Amino acid sequence: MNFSLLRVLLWGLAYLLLLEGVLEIRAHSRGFDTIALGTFQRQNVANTDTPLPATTTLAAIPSDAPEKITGEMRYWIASSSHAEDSYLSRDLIFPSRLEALLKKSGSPTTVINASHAGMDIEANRADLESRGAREKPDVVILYQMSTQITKLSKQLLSGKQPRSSKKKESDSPKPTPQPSWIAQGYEHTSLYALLKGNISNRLTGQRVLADSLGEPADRVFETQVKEFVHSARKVGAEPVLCTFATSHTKKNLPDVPGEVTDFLFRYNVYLSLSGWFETITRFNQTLKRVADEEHIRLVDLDLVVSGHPEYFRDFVHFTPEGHQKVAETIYAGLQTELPQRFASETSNAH
Amino acid sequence: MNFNSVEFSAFFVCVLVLYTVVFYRERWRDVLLLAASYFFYMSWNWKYAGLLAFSTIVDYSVGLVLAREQRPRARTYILIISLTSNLGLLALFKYYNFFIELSGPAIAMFGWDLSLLRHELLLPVGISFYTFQTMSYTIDVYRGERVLERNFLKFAVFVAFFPQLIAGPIVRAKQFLPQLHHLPNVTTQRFHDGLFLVFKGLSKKVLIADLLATLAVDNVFTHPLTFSSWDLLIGLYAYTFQIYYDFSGYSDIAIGLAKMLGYDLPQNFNRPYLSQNVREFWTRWHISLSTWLRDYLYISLGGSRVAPWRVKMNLMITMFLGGLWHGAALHFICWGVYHGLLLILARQGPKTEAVRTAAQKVLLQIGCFHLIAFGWLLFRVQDLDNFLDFIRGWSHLTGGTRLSGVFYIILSLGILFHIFPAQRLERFAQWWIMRPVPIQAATYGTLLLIYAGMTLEAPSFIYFQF
Repeated sequence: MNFSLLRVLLWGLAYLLLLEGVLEIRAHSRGFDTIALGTFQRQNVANTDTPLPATTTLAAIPSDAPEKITGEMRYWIASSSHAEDSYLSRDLIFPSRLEALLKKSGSPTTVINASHAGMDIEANRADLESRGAREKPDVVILYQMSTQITKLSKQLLSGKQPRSSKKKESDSPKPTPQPSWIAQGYEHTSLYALLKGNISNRLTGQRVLADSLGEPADRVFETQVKEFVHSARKVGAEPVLCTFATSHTKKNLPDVPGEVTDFLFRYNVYLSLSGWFETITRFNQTLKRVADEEHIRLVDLDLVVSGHPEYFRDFVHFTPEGHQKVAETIYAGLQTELPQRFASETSNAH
Repeated sequence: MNFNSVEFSAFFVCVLVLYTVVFYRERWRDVLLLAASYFFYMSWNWKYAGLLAFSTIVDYSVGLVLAREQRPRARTYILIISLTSNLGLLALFKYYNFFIELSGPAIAMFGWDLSLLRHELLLPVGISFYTFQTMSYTIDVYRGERVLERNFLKFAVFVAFFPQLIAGPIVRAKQFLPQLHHLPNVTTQRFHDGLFLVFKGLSKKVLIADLLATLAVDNVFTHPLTFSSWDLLIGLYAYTFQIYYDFSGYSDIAIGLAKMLGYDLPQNFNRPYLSQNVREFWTRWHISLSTWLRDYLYISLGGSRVAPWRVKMNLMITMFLGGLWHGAALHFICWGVYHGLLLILARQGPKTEAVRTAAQKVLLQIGCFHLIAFGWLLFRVQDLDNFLDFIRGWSHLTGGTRLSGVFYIILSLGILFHIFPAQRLERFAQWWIMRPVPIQAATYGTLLLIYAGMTLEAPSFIYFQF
């Protein structure tokens, strides 16, 4: 046996590297981050016709805000790519728009954008618990759902193989194992992105997809939201919940364009489009119920923003107009009277 | 580290490069194969490498002692040490909780709660395969066959050889150990042959088995009452082909990888759904396990050289244990007993040789296929409720389908590939491996990309859990 036998593997590797190189150039020119060509320079892409890629990696945690001054109001936005939106300039995304609106009153105000792509409620909570005491937010706003739905879908709906022994069923889903560094590296290649975008999501549309996540998902979601609310209170902040908004609603289901379903199937291979709507509706109801039970503010973004495709660049990410609308709606929601029970709890905490 | 993962591809390429470097140095070659095998095994769960090492040391020592010992009674006791330690491992990790659950209600009548005795240990991957492999070695030595291995390194490679460690084929000592004593047979043709087999197995797994599972089978079996009777029937056919392509795909990859390293592993499948009766099926399905059960269990029980009622009992015991081997669950036992009954009935029926016309052959094949498929229903269901839901769904006799066109195409492809003449495929393989290397490489690269895109989840091989 000698190295000449391995020629076929070397040729194969060269072929794949060549393809990856070509695709990296193509991807970089279209605004994607690539391994070899690095980070795409973010620009103000306010009026783009093509849907922008969603960032799938966790961005670095932002640096801490400066020391809080007397009389300053601090708002903490806990979300994921919806509020981070690294494809728009910072001043266009809703946390910045909200800060601008809040500052109009003249009092010192800071909005801390604690949102990163890929974060779910548990990650938001962990982040709040680790930095909250230092940052001292007065109001914590939670806007989360699609990442949660995707994670729960994977945990609850992935195919079941025969089990060798009957185990006790638990309501809480198992944690998803982390991919190895090799797999993670592969998932960052342009080849992988192309394949996922062109083969996987088309095949996903051929599956018998679930039309619901079922009751266990409702319970998990409710628990996570409640835990987040308690964490916010623990750091002495007022929690505010936001219902989740999407470009289309159940009512205009037949009008949902192909690229929207492609986008969903790219990230979630288990849930049908109607399953998404069903779950979002149920989770929004859960948010309303929790807000009611806990006597906290609820900003109904779903009511104001959902079903307006002009506010969205895909199913869940906003256009600059969408960001502005979201900021205005949250701002309006914050002006409403603080629920009575919470008002006393907050004053005690402070 | 699944065979169909990026990690395994990287691992195998590294092994191949190092293997080429040490190829002509026998000791280093063995060391590399052993290290690679343990690395591969530890990538699942490093803690259980100790069990593999334990099994290896026990059976290696038992083999040496058996070779020296001449007294029959002492030899039997020594053999029992090997069997007890191997079966003890299986009993502890695979069957202990199951028997606690089974006997729990009866014991509870005496006021004892056995559930407290349950353990939370994970089932070590591949344990059923490597314990059977090492047991066959000691039984062969006990029976006086010339398989004794005095070189510990070579014996350890035989037990842990990574291409077949997790899910077989179960290799006999006399098939594999002699190969370790010679320079591995690596030629350009065999290397390319092996690579072709790897891609054939990968195609079976990703293109057919996984797609059948993700497009239909998993849903049909999880929520049977939400599907029509037609979909349930098609779902069962789909599972019948899924399990075949999943396992035979794994076996092809294992055989192909071994071939690329210069070793031959036995064939494990031979188009089983073309069998005309269940006896023939068991000579074509998971051949390494069925021959193991025949040689070390059925024949040890007396085989067919005893009274007719004993033959039937031997068949039933063999298949019962064959079912239990697959997993500690009642539905696996039911599957084993069902096949035991079919085998007993097959002994009473007409011999295949008596069939003359092609039409009769086809009818027998179709009939046998349906008997086997029904068996897979017992094998696949989660529990009795799941099974009853499936039957209830069938009894509604409803039509219509929720399954997609792509699914039907994949299923048809699976059926056609199964009945495709083996000689033609072999001729194609021989033609293909003579193509220029860059063309082969580009084709394999493209296939890898397509398969990577097709992988919606990362399902493991079904037989990894046994």
